[in-house]
Amino acid sequence: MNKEPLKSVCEQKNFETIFNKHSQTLRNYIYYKCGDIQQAEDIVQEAYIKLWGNCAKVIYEKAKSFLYTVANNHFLNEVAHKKVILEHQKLSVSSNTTNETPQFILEEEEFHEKLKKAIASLPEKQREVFLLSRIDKKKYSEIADIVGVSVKAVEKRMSKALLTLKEQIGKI
Amino acid sequence: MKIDYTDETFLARWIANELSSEELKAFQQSDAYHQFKAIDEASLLLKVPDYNQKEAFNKIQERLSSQKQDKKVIKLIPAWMYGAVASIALLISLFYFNNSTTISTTYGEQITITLPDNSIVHLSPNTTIKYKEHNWNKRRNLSLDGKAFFEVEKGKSFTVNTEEGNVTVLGTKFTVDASKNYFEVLCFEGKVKTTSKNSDETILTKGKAYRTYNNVSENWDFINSSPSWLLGETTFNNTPLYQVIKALENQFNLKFDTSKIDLNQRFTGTFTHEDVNIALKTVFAPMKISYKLAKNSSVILTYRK
Repeated sequence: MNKEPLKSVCEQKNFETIFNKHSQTLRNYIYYKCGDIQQAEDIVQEAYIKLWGNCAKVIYEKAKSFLYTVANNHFLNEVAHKKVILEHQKLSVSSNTTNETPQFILEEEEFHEKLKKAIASLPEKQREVFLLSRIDKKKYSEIADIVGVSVKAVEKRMSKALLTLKEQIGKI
Repeated sequence: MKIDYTDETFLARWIANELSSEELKAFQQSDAYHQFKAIDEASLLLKVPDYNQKEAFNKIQERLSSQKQDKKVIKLIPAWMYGAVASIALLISLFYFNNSTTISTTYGEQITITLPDNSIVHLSPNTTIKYKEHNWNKRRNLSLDGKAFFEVEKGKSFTVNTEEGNVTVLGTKFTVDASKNYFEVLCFEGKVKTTSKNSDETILTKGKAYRTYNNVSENWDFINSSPSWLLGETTFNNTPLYQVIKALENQFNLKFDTSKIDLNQRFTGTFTHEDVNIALKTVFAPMKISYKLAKNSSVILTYRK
């Protein structure tokens, strides 16, 4: 068997790879939890600095779960929860070739507002799963890995989130 | 087919395109479908605040490079080193501050020393004083075994501790003679307070003297302005012979055989430091004691027949 030599996290090149691979999702994930983008980025920074400090002890393949664990602990320790504020890509508005009537656009915008409010008031566990799937386009198995639960549990949370959103939007 | 989209994972599977075609068809015909569809489509357009990955990485690099420097410093001087250095410093200072100065004279030797506060101590032969130089000006305290004349500079109280009692002054001239069962203080100037072993307190003024010998205390007056032993002779005033013989021993490095005489006799007089034979004669002739000076400096004393 052709064994690849072990990659060390302590090597600058490898460390940078790990950063480029995981930092954005990690940052979004914490953001979905706490709703403060600045805090999320600070937590990510702390997590990577801790990873560097422990680079000799953490094997390359485990770096990701190390990062998530550290970030999560940080989050649990300091968080001042804020509401998640999301934006919609303004595709339809910015494009001039839209065929939609102003009426439709207005209704669509109203719907988007409702949706964002509903997402913001979702329970944290449902929200992080929902947004990791929708925004970060993560598969359930990947989300399960990040959140640290089974795929089945992720699916349950996802379904729950959709149901909650429908009810919330219907109410408004 | 009747579908139940409230089933635990149904919606999740729908979003992930994992439904079977029958399930999907049935779902598409339900009332709620268009609502879910709208949520799905709208949520796909959601985005988070922009992320500048490059900048975030640079920030981490900056923090790490400043940390690296810290690390190096720590490695050069390991943490235990600080502890070690501190304890060594502590030991040295303990040693230094607790270190007391000891000055002794031997037979026939008479020296004068100056204490840190310029007080002067004259030591008669075979005398030892001990004091701590550290903080001397705050705590003028010394211990004495033997005889010494003190000229104390004015200042905080000055205490001489001896086995037989203590003498406390503020600034005067006085002598203290302390040895086993003997404690004698002469005040030449100012005022001194003596506290004997059995805590008898006596205040002495100029020209007053005090002594305890075998637990009996005496007071007397004298007129000298400084102790005669500084000027080459030792003076006694009704002093037990025991003490006189000791002074002779210390001065001339003699050894007396006193088995045949009474040491409690009193002697008043003076002996010179210059000539051992004259000294012995001046002491023992009036006491009607004959002496025999042998080669090995031992003296046998007997009563004259």
